[in-house]
Amino acid sequence: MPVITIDGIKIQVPKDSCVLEGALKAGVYIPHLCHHPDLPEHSSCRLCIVEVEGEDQVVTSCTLKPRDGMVIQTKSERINRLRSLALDLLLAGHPEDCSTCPKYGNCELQTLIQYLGGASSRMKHRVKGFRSIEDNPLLAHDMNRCVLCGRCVRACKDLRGVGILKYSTENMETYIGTLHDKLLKDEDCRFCQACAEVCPTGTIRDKRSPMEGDKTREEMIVPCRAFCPAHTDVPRYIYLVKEGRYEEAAAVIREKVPFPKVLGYICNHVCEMQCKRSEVNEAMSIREIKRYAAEADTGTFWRGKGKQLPLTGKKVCIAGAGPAGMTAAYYLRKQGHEVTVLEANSQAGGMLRYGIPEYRLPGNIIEEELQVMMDAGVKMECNKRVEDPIVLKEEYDAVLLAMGTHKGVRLPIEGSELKGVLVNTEFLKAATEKRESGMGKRVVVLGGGNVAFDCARTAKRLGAIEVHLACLESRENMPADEEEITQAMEEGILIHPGRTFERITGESQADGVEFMEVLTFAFDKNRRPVITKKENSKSCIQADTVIFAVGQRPELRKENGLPLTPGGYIEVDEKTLRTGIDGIFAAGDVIYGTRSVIEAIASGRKAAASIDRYLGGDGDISEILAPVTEREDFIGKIEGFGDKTRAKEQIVSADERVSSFQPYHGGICGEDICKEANRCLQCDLRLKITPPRLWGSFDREEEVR
Amino acid sequence: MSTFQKAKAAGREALIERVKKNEIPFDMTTGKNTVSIVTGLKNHDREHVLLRILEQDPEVVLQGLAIAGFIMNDAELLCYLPEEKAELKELLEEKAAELEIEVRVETGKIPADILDTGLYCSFIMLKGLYETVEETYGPEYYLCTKYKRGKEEWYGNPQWVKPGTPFNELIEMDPKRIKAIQLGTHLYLPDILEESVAESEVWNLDTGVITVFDESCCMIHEAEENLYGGRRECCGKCTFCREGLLQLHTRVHDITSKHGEWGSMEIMKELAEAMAYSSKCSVGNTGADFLLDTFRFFEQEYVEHIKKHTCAEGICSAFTNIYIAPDGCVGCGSCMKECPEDCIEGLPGYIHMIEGLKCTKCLRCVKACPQQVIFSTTGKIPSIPDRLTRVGRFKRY
Repeated sequence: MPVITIDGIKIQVPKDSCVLEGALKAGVYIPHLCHHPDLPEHSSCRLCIVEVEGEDQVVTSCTLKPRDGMVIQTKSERINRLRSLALDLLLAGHPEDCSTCPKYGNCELQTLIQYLGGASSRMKHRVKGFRSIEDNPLLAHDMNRCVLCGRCVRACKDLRGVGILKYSTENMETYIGTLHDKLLKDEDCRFCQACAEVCPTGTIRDKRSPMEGDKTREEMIVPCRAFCPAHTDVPRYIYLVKEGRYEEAAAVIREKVPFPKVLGYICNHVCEMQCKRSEVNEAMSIREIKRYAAEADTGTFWRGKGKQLPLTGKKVCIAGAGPAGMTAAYYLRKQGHEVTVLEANSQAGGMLRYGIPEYRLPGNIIEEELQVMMDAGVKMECNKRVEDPIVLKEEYDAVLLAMGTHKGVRLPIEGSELKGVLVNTEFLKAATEKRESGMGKRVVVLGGGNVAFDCARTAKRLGAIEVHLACLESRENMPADEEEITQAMEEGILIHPGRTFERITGESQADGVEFMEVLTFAFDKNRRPVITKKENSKSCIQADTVIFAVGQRPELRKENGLPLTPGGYIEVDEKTLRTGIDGIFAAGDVIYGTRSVIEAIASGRKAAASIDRYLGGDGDISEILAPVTEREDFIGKIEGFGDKTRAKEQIVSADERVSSFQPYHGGICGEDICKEANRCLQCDLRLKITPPRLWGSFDREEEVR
Repeated sequence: MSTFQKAKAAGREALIERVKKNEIPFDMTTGKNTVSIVTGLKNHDREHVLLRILEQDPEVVLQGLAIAGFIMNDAELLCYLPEEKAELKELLEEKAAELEIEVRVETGKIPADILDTGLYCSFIMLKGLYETVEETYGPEYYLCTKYKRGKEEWYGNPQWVKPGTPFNELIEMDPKRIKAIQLGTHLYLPDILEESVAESEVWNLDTGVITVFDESCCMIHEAEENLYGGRRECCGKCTFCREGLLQLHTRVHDITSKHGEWGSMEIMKELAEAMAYSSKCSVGNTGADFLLDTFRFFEQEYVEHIKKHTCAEGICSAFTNIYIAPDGCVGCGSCMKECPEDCIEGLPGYIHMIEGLKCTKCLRCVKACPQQVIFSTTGKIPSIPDRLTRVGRFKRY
């Protein structure tokens, strides 16, 4: 490896590398703009010029190959003058208003201005006057800020193999654009966003803000993964499914969640709502891809292979065999603890079994997934209700309460105690256990969430002739998933959004519900609902059965000594999930109310890590199950990529599905799955691109030395 | 047997000997690293005169290219045509196919990375290689004269010229009336005409054009045109070429339009000097040659333009003033009708006046005046009326 001397420091630079890279890696900063380590050299900005001993002319260090014994100066009066000249030229056509630029504070050009001591006013300044292009999904182009470093052109062509960004000229003013300024979609852009990633200025940038809530910039680049409560590596398994490597894909999912199939059936897929592809046309069908991988999986990469630490001699008791409890049980077992799950019901599964109807999630799937945990050595005791958690502390080293929310809320309105008035949890549980629930022929469900729809659709399948669903929220603001609402409507369920529940009529047996129409509905700052009703809008629906589906609460008694929140949930420390009593932890719906399976799983994982730490472990429950795969950066162009539509799911027709509890949803078929996975924008590839190296970070390093 | 086949039959070593003997500056030392031989006009060549060599004898150029490739261990062959001559592509490809030569014909500028990795050969050099094989070689250069007088320009006939020919013999203009000569991208004083077409010089006459500037040319106007031409050729990828030419052009334009500042001369010089080595191809690297030469030889013209607000040759219209002589105007209105900017004021029987700010100095009124009393001057305007005055009533103060 050649040894060169830069500013008096001897460094080794690989033969095929350049002096600039060698210097940067050795901690010697040389300003640069058009150079990017992942892209071919362009050597046009002239900021990285250096002097080589024995040569008259300055040379660009990005194209300078190291020779043994080379002596290089990165600073001199001449170099400074030429660099300032180059920067002045770049800034002559660049807006002077840094503070209004969205890239302010993260701009490489801005730091170069600071490094070179500001711009002089020696040049004739001009405004380029380009229209800012906001018509494309995901990416905004403001060519007024462009300094024509050409990084985006090279990223598009050489790094990605797409090659749709080009140099163009209008009235002798050069800019970057597509051929004939066509829209990115019409040019078959892959929307990989590499152009935005390498752009040193605010020219090509993400339309969506790079920060949202507590999410970092890196997290926001791959929102599906960031917004998944369990942070499943979505793009990685989508890629593997595209490659037909389903076993590996399933292993990737299993690295974060022990219920891949269950989630494949019923996950509320926050990831899909965040999917960047939805900006282009339709979101990826992430849940169905997961389901396909999970169903095609035989366990090659994970069965009997994951982590299993030796026994620690510690005993953990978990109350509740739902997704939160079972997830925690599984990971605690893998950490080497002895785990016993106590379940009040006759079968394990919690809300998976008693809350979600068979037609959405068949029992055998739950069984199959639970079996994995049993095989890992988790002990299960059913029909054991935990009445007093504190007593359990005597027998176990740690206790986790994950009993969920199994008590349906019965609103205190007139007639709510009449015969024929039921609540969601009991109704759904009875249906699961195939018991008589007391349902008649004409049913009104009160509530607009997913559980309300489960009740309505279950009622339909149990033989109700007429099923209505009424809720406070307007149609657009109904909390249920859109697919639930449309499918229910297909099944003939009548939806009445924007209604208040005035009273349930009837003498001893309910015979109808009176409603008023809602004008506005909002929550005040104390999260209390504020409703204004439309005058004289009273209406009535005749019914012999009314089902409350307006929320669920945990079945907890205050007297058992656990501090509770004002809402009646168990109070925990958000980070450790510890309750007010030492050694007792809580997770899942019982701490935050009815949410989703994936959140329960995430909560269960968090509890497992925390309990493991409490018991003396390191709290590291992470697993690597799938082999690391090198992903191809050169993704190439695909004709019509932006317009490729989301694969259709195989759904049994409404007429057919209402007559039984058979699953009606067949996922995506094998023919379509690869096509669907191929629609992924692979946003995570962008994270492989080397981040900018600003002089500020070099400065700090020097201070440390 | 084609010339290319003859070359192959002669063998690489023998060819190299012959090329050396003929003193053709074909650089064979880079042979091992050369991945391609590239021919075409130089990127900064806006004259396109040398393209005629290719148009007249495509077989000669193509075979010369093939021979060069053969000498360089079968390097890839590339030929670049200007965008405007894209129609030649098909013809060349056809000819190449006939000659069984594999050549890639592209349009547009020669990309900088190809110039970096490949070996550039001009059409003349390729013709030289062809003739070396045919053993008919004698050094010859293709030259064309171009004349500029005021804002007019015209071309002489291009011809093959032997080294040693005095430049004087090529120029059809009275040497006393010549202000400057442009060879390649550089400008020279007329005494260069004493010299002859020397070998070393001519290889650098890379556009094949000798431009003769008549004494009536304004060299700053010429510099502005030259920079404008450069901007039109610029591909926009290099900072110094793109932004440098723009800065220089805008500033020279300021000078010719009466807004020049002496203070900007320094930054212009600094920029122009840096440009010579700061771009990736000749468009940028030679783009400021002409300007720098005008600084050197015609500084006085800059002084006049910037400090005295005059263009001695009357070319820069910003310094020209047009006026209607009050003694001669009969108030006929002919000039008013002709003026495209509507900037002549007058009534029948009154002395007409030109509104100076709006006037574009198109000189149509000068031609239209039946009395021939509208004048254009680079000097001061004599005393003229400042309000409507009856013909014959104007008195000088």
